[in-house]
Amino acid sequence: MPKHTLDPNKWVDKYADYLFNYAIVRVNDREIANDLVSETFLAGLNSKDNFLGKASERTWLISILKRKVIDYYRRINSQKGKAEVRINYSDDENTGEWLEEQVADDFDRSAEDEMENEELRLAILECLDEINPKHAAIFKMKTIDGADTEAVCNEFKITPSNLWVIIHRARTALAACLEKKWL
Amino acid sequence: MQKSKFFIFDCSNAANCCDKKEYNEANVREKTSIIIHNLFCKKCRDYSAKNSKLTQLIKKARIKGCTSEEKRNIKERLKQEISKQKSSSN
Ligand SMILES: [Zn+2]
Repeated sequence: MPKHTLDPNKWVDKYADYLFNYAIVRVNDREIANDLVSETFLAGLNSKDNFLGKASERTWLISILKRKVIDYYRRINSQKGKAEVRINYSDDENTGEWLEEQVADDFDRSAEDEMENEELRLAILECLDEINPKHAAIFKMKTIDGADTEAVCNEFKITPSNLWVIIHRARTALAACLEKKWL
Repeated sequence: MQKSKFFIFDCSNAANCCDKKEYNEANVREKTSIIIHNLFCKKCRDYSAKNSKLTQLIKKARIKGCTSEEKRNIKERLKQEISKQKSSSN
């Protein structure tokens, strides 16, 4: 297996969306989620010498973010002194299973749906990591942000026919990547 | 135009129209052409089905991206940190 390496200059383009999605469902606030993502990158940078190369960059960064989210909960809990939060944290890097729940809340159907949606969401973003980063960015802007063709073409200095070729490749790659489990 | 004569038989055109349709950007001519093309082309029929399923999955996932502005801010913070580290290690 190839040893993984870190390339901080590419972190934001490659992982910001992934980490942001992970954070936002847990803290439910854009600004806080953004801060946690920034802090994660900074912490990653400061501890990059500890990176052993066993896990992928993304797995490593998400493990840092997990700790940031837990710290965040601890902070607000000690501030408010109520809304006890129980954190089940399994350190298994492969599954990345992590579950935070309000003690009072039942683990209801909608929470279960939300978990499945999150799994899907992260799966899509993981698949997009595998394709050309510029194509992934174009695909995201068009498909996820719902930007119109003209805006995407202006942003990336491409023609509409380029755009559709890129979209087609991205959709085909994404479908192939999601095929087994989701399609 | 000559091209339109063959348009209906061309799989890459059909795929292109199919993609546009997923973004509600196919015009009537393009929409019609897929319907006709798909009648006799199984490959494109399968692609169309998979493609619309993909759109549904993406909608269901409700992905929230960072805005480019937010990314720029994060990059800026990261860049400052990298240059700080470089200057302290020199
Ligand atoms: Zn065809």
